[in-house]
Amino acid sequence: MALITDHKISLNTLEVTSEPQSYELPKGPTSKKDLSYFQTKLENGVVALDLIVANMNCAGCMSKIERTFSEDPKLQKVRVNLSQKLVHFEWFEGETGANELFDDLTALGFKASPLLNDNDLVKAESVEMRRLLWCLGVAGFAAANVMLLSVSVWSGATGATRDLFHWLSALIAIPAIAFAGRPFFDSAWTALRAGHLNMDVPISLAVILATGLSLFETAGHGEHAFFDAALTLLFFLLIGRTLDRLMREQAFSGVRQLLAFKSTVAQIIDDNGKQRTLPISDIEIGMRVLVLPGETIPVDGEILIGKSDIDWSLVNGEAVPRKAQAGDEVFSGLVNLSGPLEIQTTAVGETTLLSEIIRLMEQANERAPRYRKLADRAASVYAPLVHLIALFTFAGWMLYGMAWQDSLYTAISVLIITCPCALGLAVPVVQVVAGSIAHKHGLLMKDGAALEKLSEVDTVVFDKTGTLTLSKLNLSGQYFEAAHLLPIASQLAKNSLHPLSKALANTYKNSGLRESKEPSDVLLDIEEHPGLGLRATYQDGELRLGSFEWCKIDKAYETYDQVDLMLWASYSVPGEKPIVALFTFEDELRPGVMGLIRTLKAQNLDVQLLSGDRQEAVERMAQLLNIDHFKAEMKPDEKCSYIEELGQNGSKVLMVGDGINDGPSLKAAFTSLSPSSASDVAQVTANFVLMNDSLKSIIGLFQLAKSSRALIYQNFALAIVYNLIAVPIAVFGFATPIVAAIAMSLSSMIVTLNALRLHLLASSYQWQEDKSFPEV
Amino acid sequence: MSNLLFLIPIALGLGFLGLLGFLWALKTNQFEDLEGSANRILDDDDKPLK
Repeated sequence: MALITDHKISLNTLEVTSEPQSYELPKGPTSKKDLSYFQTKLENGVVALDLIVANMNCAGCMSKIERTFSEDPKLQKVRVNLSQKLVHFEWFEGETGANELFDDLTALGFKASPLLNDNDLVKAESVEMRRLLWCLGVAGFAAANVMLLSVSVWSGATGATRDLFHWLSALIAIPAIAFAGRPFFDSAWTALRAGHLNMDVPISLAVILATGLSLFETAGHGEHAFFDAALTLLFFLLIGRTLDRLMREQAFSGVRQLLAFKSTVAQIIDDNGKQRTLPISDIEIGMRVLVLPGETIPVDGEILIGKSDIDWSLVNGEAVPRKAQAGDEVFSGLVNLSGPLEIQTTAVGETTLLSEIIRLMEQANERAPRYRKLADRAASVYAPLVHLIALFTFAGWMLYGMAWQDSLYTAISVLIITCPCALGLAVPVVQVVAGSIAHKHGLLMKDGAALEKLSEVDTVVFDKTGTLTLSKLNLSGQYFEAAHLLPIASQLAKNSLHPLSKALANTYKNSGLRESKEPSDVLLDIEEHPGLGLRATYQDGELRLGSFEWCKIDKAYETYDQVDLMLWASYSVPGEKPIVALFTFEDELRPGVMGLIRTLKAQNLDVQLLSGDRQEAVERMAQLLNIDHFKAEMKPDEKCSYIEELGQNGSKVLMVGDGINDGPSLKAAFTSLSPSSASDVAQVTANFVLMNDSLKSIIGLFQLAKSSRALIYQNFALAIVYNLIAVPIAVFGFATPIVAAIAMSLSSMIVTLNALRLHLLASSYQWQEDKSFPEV
Repeated sequence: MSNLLFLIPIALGLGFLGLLGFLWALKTNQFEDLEGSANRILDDDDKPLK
C-alpha cells in the first residue's frame, strides 16, 4: 500500500501531510470532534442536546451554566439536572449547533461530554421506575383510605354501616389492587409458567385470595374484610421493590456518566476527503478512520498514513508504548498517543479483537457457577413452607368440622400474616443504604448480589498496568548533564502527548521551578516526529528529545540505552560538543496501594498479581508490594482460565482489573472491580466501579460488605422471630385484621431502622476521602 | 349516619386530590432531579430561566 503524498487531512489548526512526517502542534485541546451527531430532533424544528458535565457539583456551577446560557438569544431552553450531572439544551434548527454550545460550556470552565439521547436502555429503565412509582402512589392512597374505613369498623360499626364501609373499601381496594399489584402478579406468573416458585407467588396468592374472600364476606354481610391488610401488604412490598430499583438506577446512571467519556463515534474520511462523524457500529470494512492523538482507536485496521506511539496497556497490559507507522496493524481499544493516524478498517463486528474478547467473556459467563442471592435462597425455603402451613391450616380446620369459608378465612390470614413484608424489605433496604454509602465514597455498586459476594471473598487478584499503577509515569533517574537540560527539555516535552514527555513535563511543573519568560529562552520551530521524538531550536543550537538514535547521541553512551522507560535529550550548538542527558522513568503506583495490600494480607486474604506485562516489570512490582503469587505475560484467555482454576479449587476471587484483556477474567471471577480509568469492557463487566484514583476505598468496601451481610442476617432473624410469634396466632384463628395490620407495619419498620444503622457503622470505615469525580 | 354521606366523600376526595398531585408531579418530571431542586433555592436571581 503506497502512501499518497499529496493527501491532506485538514483539521482546523492541524494539518497533516504524509510526507514529510511532521506537523504543527495544535493549540489547546487536541481532539476536535464534530458533535452534531449527538443532537436529536424534536418536533417543530426544535433540536435538543444533552451534555454530561463532570465537574458540575454545586448550586454555583448550576446557576452559572443556567444563567449564562439563558442570556443566549439563540437558545430556547437550557436546564441543568444536577443529580445526573446533565445539561439539556433546546434550540430551533439552524440557530446554533452542538459544537458551539460545547465550546461555550468548555469556555466557562466545565468539562463536558456528549450523551446519546435515543438510548433504548435509558428509556426502559426510567419507564420501569415510573411504573413502580405510579403503583406506589395508588397503593398508598388506597391503603390509607381503606385503613380509615377499617378503623371505623374496628371501633364498633355494625349492621348497615359496617356493610357500607365494607362496600366502600371494596370499591377502592379492587381497582387499586388490580393496578398496583401488577408488578407482583406479572413476576409470579412468569415464575409459575417456568415451573418454579419465587417470593411473588405467595404474595400474589395472599393478595388475590384475601380480596376474593373479603368480597365474598362483604356480599354475605360478614364481620371481617381483609381489604386493608391486602393493600398495606402491597404498599410495603412496593416500597421494597422501589428501593431496589432506585439503587440499580443510581449505579446505572453512574456507569452511563463514565461511559459518556469514551468514544461511541468515530471520525471517518469519505471518498471526497471530507471528514464526518459516524457511530462506531455503522463503520464498514474499507472505511478510512481518523484517530487524533489522545483518542482510542475505534476499529481494527491498518495504518494508511501517519506515525505515532500506541498505548497497548488496556489491551495487553504492557506499560511501554509501541511505535506504529503506515502498514502496521492496530486494534480497537488501543490508545493513539502522539500523531494523528488515518486507518483503513479491516475488520468490524464479529471478527475484531474486541469481539474475540467478548466471546471469551460469554464463555466464562456460561462456565461460571450460578450464584443464588440471599433473598432468593431465603425465598426458596420460605415460600413452600408458607404454602404448606396455609394448606395444613385449611385442611386441619376442615377436618375439625369448621365450615369451608371459615377454614379458608383462617388459611388466608396465615398467608397474609406470614407474608414476607419484613423479608421483602430485609435485603433491599440494607442494600440501598450500603449502595448510597459506597456511592458517597466514590464507589459504584452495580447490583446488590455483588456486595453479598464480596463478603465471602478470600482471594484478591490484581492486574498490574492501569490497576495497581496509574497510567502515568514518574521520573525516577537523571543522568549525565540532566540538571542542565531539565528546564528546557521539560518545556519541549510539554508539546507532546507521549506518556514519557508528559511525565517529564509534570516533574518539572511539580518541582516548583519557574519557567523562564526571557525572549532568548523561547523554544522555536517545535516539531514532533511521531515514533522518534521532538526537536526545537533554542538560542543558537538544536534541542532534541526522544530515542537514542533521534538525539544522535555519541556511540560511547550506547551501553546505557537498555531500559524501556527512558528519554534521551541532547543540545548541540554547531561546532561545540553536544550536551547529553538521560532521564529514566517508572510506573506511578496508585495512591494507597501499599497500605491496601498490607491491610488485605493482614486480613488473611490471598493477594495475587496477574499481568500481561513483561516478566521483569511484574517481578519488580511484586517484590515492591510484597506479593508472593504473581504471573506475568498472561494472555486474556490464560488469565481467565487461571481465575476459573482458582474458583474450581474453592477460592472466592475478587478480580481487580481495568483492561480489555481483563474482561473475561472479570467475568470469570466470583466478583470484580475496575477503576474509572478502565476500558468500557471492564467497566461494564465489573460489579464495582471505583470512581476516584485511590484503591484505598476497597478496604472500606470490604468492611461495608461484611456489616451489610450481618445486618441482612439480623433482619432475617427479626422476620423469623416475628413469624414464630405470629404464625401460631394466625393458625389457631386469633388473628383479627387489626392485629395483622399492626404486626405487619411494626416488623417492616424494625427491619428498616435496623438497616439504617449501617450509616453509623460505616462512618468509622477506611475510605479514601477524595469524593471528587475522576479527571477524565 | 347522614353526616357520613358527605364526610366520607370529602375524606376520599381529599385523599384523591393528594394522589392526583403525586401523579401530576410524576408526570411533569418533578422527581427527576432532587439534588438540583434542593440547590436551586440558593439561586437568588429573580429573572426567570429559559
